[in-house]
Amino acid sequence: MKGSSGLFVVVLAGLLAGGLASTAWATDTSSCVTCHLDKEMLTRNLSGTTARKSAMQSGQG
Amino acid sequence: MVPLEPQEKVLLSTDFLSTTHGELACESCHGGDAVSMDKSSAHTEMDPQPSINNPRKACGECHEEIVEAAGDSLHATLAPFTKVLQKRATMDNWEHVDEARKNHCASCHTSCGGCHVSRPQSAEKGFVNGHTFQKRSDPLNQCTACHGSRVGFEFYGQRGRGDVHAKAGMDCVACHGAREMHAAAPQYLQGRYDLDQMTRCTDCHENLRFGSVREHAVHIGKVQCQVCHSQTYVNCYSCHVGKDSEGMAFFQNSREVESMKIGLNDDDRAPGAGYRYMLVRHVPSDPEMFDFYGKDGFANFGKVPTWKRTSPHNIQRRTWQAATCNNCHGNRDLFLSETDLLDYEKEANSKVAVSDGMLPKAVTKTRKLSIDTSKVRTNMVVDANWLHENLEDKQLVVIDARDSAAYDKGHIEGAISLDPLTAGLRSGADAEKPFTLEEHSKVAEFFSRKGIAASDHIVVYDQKASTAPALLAFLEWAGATRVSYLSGGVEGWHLGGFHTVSEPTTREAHAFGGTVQPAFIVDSDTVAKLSEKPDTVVVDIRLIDRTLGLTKHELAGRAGAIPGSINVPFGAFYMENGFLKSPTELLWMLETYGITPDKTVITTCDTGIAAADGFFILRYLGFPDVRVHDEAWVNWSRTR
Repeated sequence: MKGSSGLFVVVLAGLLAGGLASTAWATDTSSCVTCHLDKEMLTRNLSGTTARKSAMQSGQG
Repeated sequence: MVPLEPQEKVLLSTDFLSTTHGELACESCHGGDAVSMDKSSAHTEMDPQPSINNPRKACGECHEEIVEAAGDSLHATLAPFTKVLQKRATMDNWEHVDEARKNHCASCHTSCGGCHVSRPQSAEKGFVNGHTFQKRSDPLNQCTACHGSRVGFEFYGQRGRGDVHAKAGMDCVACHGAREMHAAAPQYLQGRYDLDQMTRCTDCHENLRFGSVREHAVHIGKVQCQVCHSQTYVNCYSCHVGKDSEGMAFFQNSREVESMKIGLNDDDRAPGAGYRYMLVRHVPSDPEMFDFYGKDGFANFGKVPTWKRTSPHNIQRRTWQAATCNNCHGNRDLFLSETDLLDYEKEANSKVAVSDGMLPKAVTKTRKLSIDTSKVRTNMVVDANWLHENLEDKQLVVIDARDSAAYDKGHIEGAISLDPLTAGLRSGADAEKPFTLEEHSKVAEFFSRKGIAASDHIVVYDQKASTAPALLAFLEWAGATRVSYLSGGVEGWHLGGFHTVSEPTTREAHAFGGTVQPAFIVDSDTVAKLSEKPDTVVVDIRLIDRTLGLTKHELAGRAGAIPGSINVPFGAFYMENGFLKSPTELLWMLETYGITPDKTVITTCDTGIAAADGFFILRYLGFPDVRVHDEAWVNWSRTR
């Protein structure tokens, strides 16, 4: 009984750790999130990339 | 809609990460390489708009039913628009019409992301609220980002008085909910009004026929609600599309005209549309609009009206056309006639135009409007013909109030350039009290250097009445005694058949000599005191979204409005291009707000410019006691 209880705790801890790790992966270690939360870096990387529209366009759409 | 910098468009908020969608791995919707820290490889095969390119995978795994239905919704397919093009084209030329449609028109469609995450594709994208998913679409960043000039402008008062529903704090979703937005449009649907789930006035306003309003009992079933309850709206003409030398797609609308036209209902099969008369708006189509892709694209142009049923989003309980019976009955100008039609569209609108025989007859026994226009200072507004005839007058000073770049491009001959926004007449944005008028001596000296005398007849023009009336207000405050606004501005000048020149004009400096009118300007303390009095009205000239606190000026301490102020958006006074509405209509409209000449009227706005514009118009209308709150909301909100 004592042995199976210990095994249960180990399995539960493993599941919890796995669950936490997968959640953390989405938010903390994803390069997408890392970069897209960094305003300064985005500013450096995207400066000058203004949206363009034809100079010939006129009037309301 | 405030433009977003490129980095702002893709900046996540940390709040997003703790939402249900934020807990998903980014690549589960967008693809790409989520491990790479190199920009290029991280974005390889990344889909920035998964709800457009693969909605079933991106959204459908959790929201299956909605995605399935919304994939056939009007927002996703624009199907009725394609049907109209198919009717106007023939089998032989459909290929190039369809190519034009795909290149120029189809980008307007949107999907889940454009309503719940980002600004839509056709509005240059960018996260709304840091990519946090919103159940309710944002009216300013999403709905009106696409439905702008013909909906957003009208709804929030950029054109006209705005919509009574907007003033009541209702957003787009309040009427156009998920039931309608997500509805799959049946294949046979001919137009958006045929959609069963389309919202209708009567969904909320029930049993009007048996209510207390006599006019409802008389008109319901005969006229569309908007015929009585809309204001004038913009009509576009002759859109042409093409690609420039760099291959970029463009469109050119040749003309925009604000008007109101009542037409005959040519298709009463739409649910709830059994009435005879409806409002019609001119669509920008013309037979040559797709000629860039091939001639004679619209060989069957006459099959679809170019004056189409419309439901302007500028509803008011009381409107000018319904102010009295004969503003509508017998008013030929209000009803679409043969003479309103261009040669190429006569056949297309033959069932919509109202013949003389179909014109409701003038009513003999009716309440007459009693609007006193005797106090209107008619010489404060001139038109292009008057100015052209008087240009040689030595006492006349013509001022172009647009920015210097517009002046350099072309201005009325003899006009000097004076942009009130940059001339130094007001304190700067960094001042302790931003945008307030400088001391009179400084302003008078500035006018002296420009060669303007207080005794001159000063005519000011601009484009779309954005700054000219304000400059006229500043001139009157400084002591000028004869000032006039050129109605219609530079566009009105061109429409009058007159040319502009690029050669700049300067005048020899001489003393301005005016006597300041200190009572014309009031500070916030005075506004607070006067607004307590029953014979004082504070008129807020800003757009509705500002007064509701949905948006704010970047220098304002907070969003909001002066307590007790009455909102009359600046657009309420004008038609297109800054053509002033008639004094009779303006006085009637102001009266509906309780703004009458027997009261002290204080105009306010964000920075004092629109307030000064409003001041000038009220002075023109003959109001004897008008004041400008030049400290405006930007300063008021910092201390109160």
